Amino acid sequence: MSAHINMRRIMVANRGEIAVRIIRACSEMGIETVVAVSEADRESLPARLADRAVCIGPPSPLKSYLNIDTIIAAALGTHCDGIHPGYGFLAERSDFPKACSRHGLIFVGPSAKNILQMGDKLYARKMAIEAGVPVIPGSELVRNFDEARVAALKVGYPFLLKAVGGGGGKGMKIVWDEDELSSTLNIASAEAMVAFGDNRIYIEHYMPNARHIEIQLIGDSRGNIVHCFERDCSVQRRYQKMIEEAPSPAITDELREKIASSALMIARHIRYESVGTVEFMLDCDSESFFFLEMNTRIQVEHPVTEIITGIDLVKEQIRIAAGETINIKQSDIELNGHAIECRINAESASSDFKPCPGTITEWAPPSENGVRIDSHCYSGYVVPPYYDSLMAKIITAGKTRADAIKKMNSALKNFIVTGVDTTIPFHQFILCRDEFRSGKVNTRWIEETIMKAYVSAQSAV
Amino acid sequence: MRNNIVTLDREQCIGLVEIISKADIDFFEMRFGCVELIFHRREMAGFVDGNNRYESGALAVEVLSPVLGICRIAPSVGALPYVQVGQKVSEQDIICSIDVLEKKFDVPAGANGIIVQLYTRSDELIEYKQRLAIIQTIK
Repeated sequence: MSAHINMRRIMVANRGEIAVRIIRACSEMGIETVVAVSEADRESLPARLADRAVCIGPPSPLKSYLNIDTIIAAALGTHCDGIHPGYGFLAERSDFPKACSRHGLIFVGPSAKNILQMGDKLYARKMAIEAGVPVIPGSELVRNFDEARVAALKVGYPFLLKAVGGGGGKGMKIVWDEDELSSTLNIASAEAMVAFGDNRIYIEHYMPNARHIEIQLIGDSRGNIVHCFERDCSVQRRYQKMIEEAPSPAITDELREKIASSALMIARHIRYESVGTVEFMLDCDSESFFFLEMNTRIQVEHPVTEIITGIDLVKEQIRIAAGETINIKQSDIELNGHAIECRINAESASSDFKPCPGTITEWAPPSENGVRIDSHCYSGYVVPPYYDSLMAKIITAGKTRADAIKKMNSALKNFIVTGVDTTIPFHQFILCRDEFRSGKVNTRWIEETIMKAYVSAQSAV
Repeated sequence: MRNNIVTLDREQCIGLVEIISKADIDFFEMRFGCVELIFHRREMAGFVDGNNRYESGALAVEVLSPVLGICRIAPSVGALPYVQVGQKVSEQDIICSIDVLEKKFDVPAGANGIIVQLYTRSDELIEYKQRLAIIQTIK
């Protein structure tokens, strides 16, 4: 049981919109912020909004945002009480909370143990099974072709080769038949080594007609854990989410209750402490759901949950890190209305989503009621080529899903961005489709249906 | 007229500096009434970044911190500082050291010359590429 700690100053060890989001939450809580910036982000909005910005290294993430020693030194040198990792970068590295603890700093996130438990995807599956939650049929570790072939016979083709150290949709390859197995196994293993420093691979059954449903959780140091309902993130391309919404248009109240209960069972089993998300695959044919993975961080798409529940998840995360208990009961968490989020990237959808870094010559986001914009961009801002291309998240709220979609259409139409290509036209295209409006999409919809339709619509213009 | 105090206002000073800066002179000193105007041209055409030297015939170079960390101006507590203003240094001489947790990074001068400015203070947080010193180079 942790004692309550007075957080006076927090280091934000991240960049972009999430850095702005954390600074805003801290400011509202009366907590000072120091943002760690790379040389490329010296003039960024987080650097301007924080009480202080310190330059930690060159643009390369390995030498700046992924450099634990430098970030700890910056936090100590600026007398911070804790460090918020945001998402990505160091957020799910178990050595980071350990390093924070060694130097007397509070890590605003779960324990190193929780991160380790869920970071190893095979161990996470084991935890889910122990908790009594169904997992996608799959294998143990496959160390070579022979082991993979035996496992494949049990799981059945097609299946996914997944990196044990992966997650967030990265490091996955579909294998359609045995002819592909040998070469794909070698590629997957090599790619996993490069991406995660861990070449271990396992096999999971591939579900061609599935939705991605995830449950937002909050747990504290006293073992209290609540859920904040689900988010539906089925609109994705190459396992990267593009549109998220809450509640899911595809599940009943009864199914919602079952999935949320399963998420709570896993979180209770590992005594999860902080905000986190348990992800599930929902088989659209059988309506069965399976544990996919747990993300031990604040998620990009957290705003849709904030809109429908009224809970500020970043503030809750900070309070819990400071040793406070959750001050809301499960029965008090209500689902109100509908929220949708579109991720606006500096990318050209018609050129296979090629990143388009450069100078934003005009930036005029919509300012209508029921529209929230989480962004770090402004007119004159140079989108750097070193990092992910997320420019903004547009989140709209409505009494119904149709209301939220209508507001999103209007917000996308009124969002003026010039100087760089954005994914705004692509989102407008998606929102007009009947399949999306009726809520009948799966995780393959973008790749199998929309990409082709979008490219031909573009060439017809 | 002798009793009238003749002086220069701010605008006139700026105008004068502009004229001098365009002229082919490196040093100018003038005392006019209560105004003392000293102009010393110092080209800042290059800088030294840790072990990497970028120079193009500069008369002075900046020494920038190669890492973020805590500055140490002396090898140990109570010891004499690595360098002082006015001191002649060679490329390999240490200007200061930067502690990043348990690791210590010695910052070399990177140029032969005389230290004309030091911006280091012991135990202070130094950011990446923060200016540590200016060295007047000796050709």
